[in-house]
Amino acid sequence: MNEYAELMTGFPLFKGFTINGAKRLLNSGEVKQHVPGDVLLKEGDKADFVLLVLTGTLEVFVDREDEHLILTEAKPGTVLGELAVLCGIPRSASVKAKDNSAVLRWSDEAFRTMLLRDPSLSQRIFREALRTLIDKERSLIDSLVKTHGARG
Amino acid sequence: MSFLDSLIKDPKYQSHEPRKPEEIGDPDVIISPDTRREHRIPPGQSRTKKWPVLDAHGAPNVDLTTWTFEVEGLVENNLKFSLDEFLQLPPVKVYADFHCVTRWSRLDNVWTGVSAREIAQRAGVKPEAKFVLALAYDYGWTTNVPIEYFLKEDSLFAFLHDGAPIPPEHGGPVRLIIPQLYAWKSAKWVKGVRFLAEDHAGFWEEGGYHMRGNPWADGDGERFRWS
Repeated sequence: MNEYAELMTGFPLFKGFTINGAKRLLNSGEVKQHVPGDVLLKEGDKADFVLLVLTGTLEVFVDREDEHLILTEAKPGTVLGELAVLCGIPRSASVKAKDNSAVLRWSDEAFRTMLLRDPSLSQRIFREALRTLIDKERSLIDSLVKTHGARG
Repeated sequence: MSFLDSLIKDPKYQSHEPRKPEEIGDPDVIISPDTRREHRIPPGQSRTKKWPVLDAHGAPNVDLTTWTFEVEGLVENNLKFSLDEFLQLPPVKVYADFHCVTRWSRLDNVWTGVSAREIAQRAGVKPEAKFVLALAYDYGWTTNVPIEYFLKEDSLFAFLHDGAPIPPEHGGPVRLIIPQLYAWKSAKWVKGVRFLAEDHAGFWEEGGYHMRGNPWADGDGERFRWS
């Protein structure tokens, strides 16, 4: 527990947290160990928990027909699945462990309570989630521009 | 309850404009210096006429018959008061504004209680004490305050707000009030204070909230240790 708490204080998302502060976040959820190939969530599933990568690497992917598309890799300090929980929509992608990984899992209720009680944490989580979305939008625009350029 | 009803039935709703300190009239009321500012609302804050309720765990069940207030740490005399004994201490009144880190400010409050200076004086605070940790009844909740803010003339342990007992959701029977810092430093359901030589992060401070929390500092106030 101490080891994970210490790791968390080094994540940019939790800058300023003390070990005790990080322990509170750990105690609000459950840490699970995963081996490569473990599927942590599946596209289309009901979203009832949020993940924080503590160690290792997770792979975010979608399967389309015969294609396995890797969307991104999630490293320690990354929160996954929060938007589906907050929006009440099914999972938009699947996640599996690429390496041996430790992952903190908050239930949707625990996650919502944390955000409601702690305006600072709430601001940080939303800021990070929106940044990720904006980056995705930029990538989409870039790829549209490239396609358009190729046609022109 | 309709919105209109909620306003009518909210005894803490302020339908009037905030008074100016010179309108208070009572010469015994200590005027918090920030109420004398031309612009009383700190940067990044907005005025609310209501009194929102925020806390970490919800209001605890505080048994008034066994309630105690203890003073410990770097003091000559550890102190312990029952509620009756605490209410017998000489009272002060303070006219102050109240600024929450979540960006609302409630202006024009009159608090009645025991001056923080009175408590410090009775305990005989040692010169090496530089910080105060306020301890509360809600599940070990704490907050840390630099001693110079604790000892400001307008800091007190309040039991009345605008002449009425402080309701449980707002921290009664007794809450700390430090008008010159963000309101989370004004510990609800306070049960004691510990004088310390070194700063020690309290509950929210362990989650990255500012160790001092001056709403007037740094352009947007000292809210967090990450922004």
